[in-house]
Amino acid sequence: MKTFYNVDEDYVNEMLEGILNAYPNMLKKANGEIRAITRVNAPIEDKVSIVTGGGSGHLPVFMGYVGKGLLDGAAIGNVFASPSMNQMLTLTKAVDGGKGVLYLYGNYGGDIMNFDMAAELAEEEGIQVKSLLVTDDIASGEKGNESSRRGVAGLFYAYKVAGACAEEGASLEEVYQTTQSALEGVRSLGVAISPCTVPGASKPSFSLGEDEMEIGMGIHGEAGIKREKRKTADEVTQKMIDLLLNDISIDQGEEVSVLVNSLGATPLEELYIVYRKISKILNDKSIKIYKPYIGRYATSMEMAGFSITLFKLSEKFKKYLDHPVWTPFIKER
Amino acid sequence: MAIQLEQQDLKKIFILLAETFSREKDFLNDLDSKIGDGDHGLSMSRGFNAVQKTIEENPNFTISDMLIKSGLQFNEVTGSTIGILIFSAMRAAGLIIKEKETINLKDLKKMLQVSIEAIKKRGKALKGQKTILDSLIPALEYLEEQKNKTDESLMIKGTVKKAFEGAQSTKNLVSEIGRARWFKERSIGVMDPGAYSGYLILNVVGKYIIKCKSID
Repeated sequence: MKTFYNVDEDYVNEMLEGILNAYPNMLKKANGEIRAITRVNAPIEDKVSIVTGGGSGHLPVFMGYVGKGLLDGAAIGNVFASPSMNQMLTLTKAVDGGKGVLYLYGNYGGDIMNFDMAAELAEEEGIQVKSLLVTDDIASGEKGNESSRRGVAGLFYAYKVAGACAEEGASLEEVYQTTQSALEGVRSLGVAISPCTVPGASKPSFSLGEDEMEIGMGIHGEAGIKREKRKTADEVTQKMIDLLLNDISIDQGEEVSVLVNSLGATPLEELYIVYRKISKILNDKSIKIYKPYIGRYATSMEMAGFSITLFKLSEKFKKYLDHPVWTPFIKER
Repeated sequence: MAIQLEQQDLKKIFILLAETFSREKDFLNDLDSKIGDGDHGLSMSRGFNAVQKTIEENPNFTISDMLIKSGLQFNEVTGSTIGILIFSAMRAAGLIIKEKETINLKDLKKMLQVSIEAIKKRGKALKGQKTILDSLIPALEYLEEQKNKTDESLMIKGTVKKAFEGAQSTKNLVSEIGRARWFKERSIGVMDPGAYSGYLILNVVGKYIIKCKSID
């Protein structure tokens, strides 16, 4: 793999410096800590703050969603490694506007341990914290054991709902409950055809034959459901939608939002070829698509592949999807 | 004579830990690449180098400060699972000897015990799940069985031996926790790098005591 960076140790900090230089009117460091990025106008008084975090390598996840309508701050770790407890704590203190902080992040061990300890120490300092894990990847846990699943592109919908709900003036408990109930209707599944290499590592995180694909591959290369021969876009899409609709029941006449996400290297063209098939399948089932999102929303550096996320909607969640957002990586009026 | 470790001894132990993990980095990375993402050695080495740096920059640190404040720096440079677990352990150990200017074998035993409790609580892990606990717990159990013994040198050697055997025993275990659990079947036959790191830590402490406090 050919890449452009300077020294592997500087990969994350130089990426962050670039983002801060590009959006000085939108983002800033929390208390001088480059691994803790907040909105430029943080803390916002009398609003529940939404905080996330995790390893680097997934842009726009995480700090790409820091801004109006979405997140208040993000803690950023090394590539594929959790940020530190103290970076999370620094961030929490910097964004708390007095109404409490919701930690909203993917279900990964290192992130949980660091966020849990940050929450304990923040509470000792009088900041109210609640934690909600995103567990949308159906490939990573059996049905019935949803809480063991990893969080992937569904993070985006979690941020949308929590961000909008918090800006409506809801309490911490209300933002938590609302986001949790939205997440009950969010499911994702990915497929990978080529890996990525962590800067500094001597080899890619996994290897796949030229004619192979792996459905359910995790965004750090965690083993998926099955490794098999590559298929056409329509065949793979059909299979993935079948698996998704097996996991969550969506009836005729119900509405969903669809997120077709590139894992990094897969181009927009291919995402639209996939979306074409999804819209056909859902149309045949009389499931309405309310608002599709197609592009790079949660990536794994240069991994090739894509993921599909379905978000089962209610009128309330439709309203939250329509809530305007303004961040470096996504702008919706 | 019974063991008495002073602030200067702890400082030397942390320097030895940084050296040890710099030396063992590639071996630990190789183990981890078979069952995880291959960065365990890098994390441990980065972490203990940050600890050493912090201690050298703060010559007035008490023993407790060395554990708590430099432990925070371990987590700061590594983040991740191992970063928070080592910090949690160091913090718990530092809190239990808060006011002490010297520590004896009884203190060390208590420090090991609270460290294990902190790792269990933070990692929601148990013995037998192929983690660092699988070297630390057998070591503590052995130490606790030695209640009425007086030969501290033998006790320390036995503790380190149990940690080594515990680390080796993880070869037969299946990863049930952390990112390694996604590599379940592939993990059999491979020693857990975290468990081996647990042994390395106890080995450094044990060897230092026996060599430099000449209790042998």
